[in-house]
Amino acid sequence: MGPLVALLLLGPAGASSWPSEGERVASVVVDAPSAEAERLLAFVELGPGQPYRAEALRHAVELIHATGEYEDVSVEAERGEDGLALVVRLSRAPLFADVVAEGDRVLDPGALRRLSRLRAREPLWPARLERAAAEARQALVEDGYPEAQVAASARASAEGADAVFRIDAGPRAHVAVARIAFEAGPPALVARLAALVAPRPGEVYRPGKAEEAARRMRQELLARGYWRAEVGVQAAREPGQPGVWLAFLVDAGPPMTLEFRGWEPPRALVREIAALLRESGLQADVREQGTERLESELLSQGRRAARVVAGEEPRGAGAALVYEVEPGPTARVGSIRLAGDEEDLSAVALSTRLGGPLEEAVLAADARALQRALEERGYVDARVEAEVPEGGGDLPVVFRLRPGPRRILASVTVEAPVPFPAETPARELNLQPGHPYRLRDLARDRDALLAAYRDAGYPQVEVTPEVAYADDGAAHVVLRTAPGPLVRVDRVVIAGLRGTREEVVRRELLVKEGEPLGLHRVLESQRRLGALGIFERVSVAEIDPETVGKRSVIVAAEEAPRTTVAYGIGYAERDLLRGSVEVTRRNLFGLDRSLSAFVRYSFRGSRLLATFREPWLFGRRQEFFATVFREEEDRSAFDFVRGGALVQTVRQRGAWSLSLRYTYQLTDTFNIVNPDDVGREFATSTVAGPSASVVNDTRDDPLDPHRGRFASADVQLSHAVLGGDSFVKGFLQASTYERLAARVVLALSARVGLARTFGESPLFLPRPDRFYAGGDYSLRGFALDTVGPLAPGSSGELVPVGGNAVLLGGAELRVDTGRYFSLAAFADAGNVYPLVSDLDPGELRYTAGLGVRYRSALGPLRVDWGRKLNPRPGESGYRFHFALGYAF
Amino acid sequence: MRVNRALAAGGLLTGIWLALPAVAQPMLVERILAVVDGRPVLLSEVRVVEEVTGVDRAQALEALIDERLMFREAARLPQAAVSGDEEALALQSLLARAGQAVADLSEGDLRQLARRQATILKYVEFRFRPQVRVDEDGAPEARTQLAEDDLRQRIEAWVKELRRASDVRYNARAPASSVRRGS
Repeated sequence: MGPLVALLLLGPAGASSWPSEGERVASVVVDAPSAEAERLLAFVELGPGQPYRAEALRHAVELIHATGEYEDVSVEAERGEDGLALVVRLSRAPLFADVVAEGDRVLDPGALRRLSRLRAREPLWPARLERAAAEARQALVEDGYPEAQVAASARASAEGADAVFRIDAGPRAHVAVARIAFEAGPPALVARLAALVAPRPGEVYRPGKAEEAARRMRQELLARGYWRAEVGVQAAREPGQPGVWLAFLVDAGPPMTLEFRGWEPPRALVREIAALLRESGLQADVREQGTERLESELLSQGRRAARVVAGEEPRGAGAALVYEVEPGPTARVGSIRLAGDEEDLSAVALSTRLGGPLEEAVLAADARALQRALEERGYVDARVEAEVPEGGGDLPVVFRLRPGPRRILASVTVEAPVPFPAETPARELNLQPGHPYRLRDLARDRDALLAAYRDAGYPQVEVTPEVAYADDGAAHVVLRTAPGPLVRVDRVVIAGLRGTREEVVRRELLVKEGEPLGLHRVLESQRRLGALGIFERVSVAEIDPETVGKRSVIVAAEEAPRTTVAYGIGYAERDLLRGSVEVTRRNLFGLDRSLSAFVRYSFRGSRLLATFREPWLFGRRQEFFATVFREEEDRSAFDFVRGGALVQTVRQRGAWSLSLRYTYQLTDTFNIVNPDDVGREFATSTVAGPSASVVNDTRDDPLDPHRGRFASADVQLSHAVLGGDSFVKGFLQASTYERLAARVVLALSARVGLARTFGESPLFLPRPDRFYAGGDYSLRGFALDTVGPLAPGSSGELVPVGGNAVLLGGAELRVDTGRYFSLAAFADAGNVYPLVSDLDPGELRYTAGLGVRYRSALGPLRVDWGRKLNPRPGESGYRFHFALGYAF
Repeated sequence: MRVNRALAAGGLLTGIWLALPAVAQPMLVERILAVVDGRPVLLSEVRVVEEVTGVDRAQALEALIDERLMFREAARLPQAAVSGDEEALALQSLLARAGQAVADLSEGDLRQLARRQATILKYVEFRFRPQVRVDEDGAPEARTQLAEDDLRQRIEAWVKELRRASDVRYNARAPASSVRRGS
């Protein structure tokens, strides 16, 4: 009865036929909540009164599906008097929200999530769930549940869909018996292997642990000369029973030795081959590797006819791996001659040395270098061969040059039916008329043309070079370009956003609807989105790569966690040991804004900062920061507490950045050691006014630079009119890094600080704002801040009081001595002057010294020993420093 | 008795159903029937294949999935690129084969189908045809037949491999064909 009633309720189908192309559309509705419907309706390029196009409807369904939010999208059409009424219906995709564990509680939801690697909002399709269940099952088997069964399914939830794991763990296996099967094995060795057995009787049987034990047993045997050793694991268990009988099957093979016959290789090479055998055993590739190393050594000695054969021979109860070597005669370079040389190639540096061993590989490399030199001069068909007679002794080496005709480029033409894309930056061709014709230039220009057209939206561009030679040998080059169809961006679909607003993604995109779909734009868009730091993954891809002329692009993003916590630990002479915590709430309001709180605490002071960041100011890419802060610090001659606020905007362009700030801060200075001085200074000071910084940073690595430069200029103004003390302060610094050799870096640095007060303000800057020098980051022969003006403290000792001007310069030679360590030699010069008018280069203090650096996970750890070169009476001669990071 | 009553009720209801006037009801014009490696296979695309080949909807869906996988592989080979002339020729051939059955399909759909098929054919000719080996013995017709069989087997193996490496998810069984065919 049931099916019949259903049939009745459905009623007979109307006599409607498939909509025709061009039929009038009366309405288009997306069956979803209004905001969602409005967003999706933008993908439907059909509206009331427009003609029906199946292609447009198909494209809309593809775009809606591309958002990743829907499992199914269907469209119904109903014919009415006004035309077709179209309704788009949606079926939501099961997007992963959470993990639910059911059945045996052997894995918690967190562990299941980690094991299955399910990502937030990932669709829980059956195949994915099957994979997740298999991964969870494998983990259980590894954890001693050999009969574990795991099934995963999707269950709709308020947030999307939960991945429900149903676990039937079965019995947990334990090792009942564990033994070693090693027939006729020496008792001591069997005992040693027995000590490596794992898991041991009574322990949970974990297959991975047993495999690892077998691997270690094999390593033990290999180390003892059993280079053919194999160790297998056999585990037996009655179904449903927990007891496992575990056996390690040892086939040790004979004890072996390594021998060489016919030639005694260097000891280092013998050690190297023996180490290979101890590490990997006597496998075919290891044996072959030994042969190759021996041959390579012989060839490097000029023994061109050397022959090495590896074999095995019995030796008492064991065997020997014997390398039979026929070294052959030694050949040396008796003479070097270039034959057929019409060009002067003396500038070409050859590696073949007179009197040195004759090496085929070096000869071939030199021949290639000579051929390249000829090609550079326009001999495109040049050939160079090295000719050496057979045998040993001092042999003549002849590099036979066959340059062929020299080609000078007479003309180069780019033929393209489509003009060179205007929006693509002009690139100068490497091929230049009047210059030698080189294939290398031709290849570069072809690649440049291909890249330019691809970047301009011609993905199928082809560039065919055609070269014709005139009777006089001149070369005429035509780069025939077939751009293929121009591909424009049809629609840009943004997928995967949860809290982030679409405009945040769209404003970073260089891929714009209606504009050419260039490869560079796609890659740069992806890079920009990744650089925002609010996404864990971003991809920009074409949705419909088959479509000719225009293609839609999907930008799929996976949002990163909103809250991040960063910890830090550091050391500097000023702070001693210090620790910091920064908590950041990212992507506020879905607009890539952030709010962060930073706390730093050390034995000498503390610092609290709260910063709000707005990345996009007044509709343009311009960072804006608003910060409030409080800090306190104990210095040797005074203490201070400072609080205030600043607003800052930063503009970056390549390696350059410009910051403009406005600061208001109050500083209270106290515990001043030489209080007699205070009357002339600011005990309580106020900074109120603008400041600006320009930075140019081209260093390859800011923490451990090897090349590039860093330069910055900073100017700060404070004025009574703005509510502060009146002064102007500037600081310039520049450093360059040059790699002198593969492991040697030269670092140079210069710093200048100048300040002066004006108006009613005292002559000197407030104490905490003055310049100081000496210590781990400036003149390393001195203790912290002890360069420059000193004044007697309350108990008569001299304490630094700083000054209104500073000069600092430094040079440091860094030599890498391995992966982790480097040595340094340095020289520093500089001084602090009470006033700018006191600046006197003749008063510079000089130090020089040596240092050791260790590349740690925290950054370079540095120990420096600096010696004063012009010490004054009463000063110590040297100083040790320990610091994190380089001095400059 | 229960059976008789059921039959009587069934007959009655069927009679009522047939007597109802035909009313216009929404017609499904587009739907995602399957998803192949993340890309949807749509009802309208399947309908094109259905019309052109004359097979039922379920077969047309499977054929389209195979074609999608083959085309994706073929399009990566520059030697399989189809020129404008080749596309026009393929379209002509398709129209000639399908005749009036495709009269209500758009030219764009047919052109796309023709281009995809031409690309796949070029790929097959480039990749598989040179691998076909048949004995020199026997009549030329028999040799040709053997060669075609060999080629077909290679294509089937290729499709099987493509299917194995792909992720195909069916949204639902394909709805029944709504296309009426002429004799």
